[in-house]
Amino acid sequence: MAHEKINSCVIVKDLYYAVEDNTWLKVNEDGTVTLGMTDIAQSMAGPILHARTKSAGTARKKGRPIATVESGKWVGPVKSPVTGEIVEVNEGLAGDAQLINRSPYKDGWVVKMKPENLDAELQEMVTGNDAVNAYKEKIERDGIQACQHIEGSDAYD
Amino acid sequence: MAVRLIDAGIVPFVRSQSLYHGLSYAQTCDTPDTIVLATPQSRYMCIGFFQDAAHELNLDFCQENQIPVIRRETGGGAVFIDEGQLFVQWIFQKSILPARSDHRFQLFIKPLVETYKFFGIDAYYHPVNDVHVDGKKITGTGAGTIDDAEVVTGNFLFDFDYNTMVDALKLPDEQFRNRVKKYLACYMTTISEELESPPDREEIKQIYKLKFEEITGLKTEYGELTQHEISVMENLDRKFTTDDWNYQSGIKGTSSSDRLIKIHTGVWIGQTELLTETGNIRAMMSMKDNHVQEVSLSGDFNTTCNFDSKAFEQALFNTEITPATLRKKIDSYFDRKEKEITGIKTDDWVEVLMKIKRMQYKAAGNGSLDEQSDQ
Repeated sequence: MAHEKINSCVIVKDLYYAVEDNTWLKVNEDGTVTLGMTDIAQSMAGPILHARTKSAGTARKKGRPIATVESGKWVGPVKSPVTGEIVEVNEGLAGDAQLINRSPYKDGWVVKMKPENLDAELQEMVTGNDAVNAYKEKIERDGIQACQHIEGSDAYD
Repeated sequence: MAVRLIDAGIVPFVRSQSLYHGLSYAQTCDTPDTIVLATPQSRYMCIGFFQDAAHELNLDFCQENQIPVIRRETGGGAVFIDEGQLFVQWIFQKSILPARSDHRFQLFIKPLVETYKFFGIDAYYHPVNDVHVDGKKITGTGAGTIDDAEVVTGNFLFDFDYNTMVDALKLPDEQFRNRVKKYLACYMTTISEELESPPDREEIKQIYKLKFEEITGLKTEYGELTQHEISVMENLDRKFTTDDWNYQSGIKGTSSSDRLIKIHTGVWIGQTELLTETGNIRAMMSMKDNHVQEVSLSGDFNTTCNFDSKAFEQALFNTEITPATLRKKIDSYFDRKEKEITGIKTDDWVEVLMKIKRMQYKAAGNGSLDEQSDQ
């Protein structure tokens, strides 16, 4: 995966990002999208204790929660960057929520959705170098610490 | 825009939860940052969003003693709440609070600490999110995002009914229950315990307002809830009193024999079992700052040999809880006593204690314990 590191935080360049909500989106060949938390989001949350996704079949509007996660320091929603229907959830998170910490862009994906209005909503997200620049700005503005990666995290050299 | 300060006074128990949830759901970008001060009219048990009431609580005790249960939409463990607590709830816009959670807790805690100090209580910030007095916790805090609102909650603790809290928890046996009661009494404190003449709640509220303004540089103005906010809270009042919401299935843990209770950030009590070649051994261990405080061991070994388990338990006092230090202490104890425990190997003792440590480490939000570095 082409990626860049900012302050030890990994930004995978071929994903789309909703920067303020710290979520990523991948467009799949079958027309669905895969959604997850960014490396920055997992690091800010700290090791995640529990994650509960909305069920498959649930319709979600953009900005509404697709999951709730709890760490030792915080509990909050993972917000959908698109409107659509959840078609698949990552069942592995129920037993091992720290998949999100170890592999935010791969095994720790949260849900897959069938989007209703993808082209327009992608316009509101950033990708590639634009994403890298947007996160550089956010990290500086919010005083975000260097990303922490727990044991067993995906390696990005 | 000034911070809106809502002094809700004494509110029905369910409203003490629906206040901050409702303000969060009703928040728009024009809503002022809001602080709520409120005291519940009556006692209840409050469980975290991910918890399972039947797994965490002694529901028979709660029912017999008319202690209702509410599931909140924020995290953390089961807590007992009653009129001895003055809630402080911040419901803020995202932009005003520090992005870093440790900075956020520090900002929230400073006015609490300064208020305690004003009244002569030598309180201080205890990372990550507690207020302590001489090693005892007097305030705990929590944080979360509800809808688009950033929420931080805490309290001023006037009195605390330790016994009822512990009796309302589902615990494995009376020995464990008594241990939790003892540790709560040792490691928690209240305003009434710290001061011979506790201040009036109205005084606390006034000083808190001043300290908040001094520390944050933000002005506060007393305000009221809007009709829309009240309407959202009324809906939540209904939701928070339904069995479907409060008793929905939650996280049950890995084993019915495992139990872990947090007293405060550094102090925990855990219990677990381990199947060895001889049979089951069960350990209950109190931990303070990663050192053994008390261990109670039981199981099949008692019937298979002449073993002075009390002396062994005492020998483990203050041992650092790592595989290497436990192994060294246990080996040295058995060398000295020249005793042999049939079937129970050093590795079994180490493993049963490390099982509790791993439970604590995970529950504290530290990820998985890397024991390789301890070997």
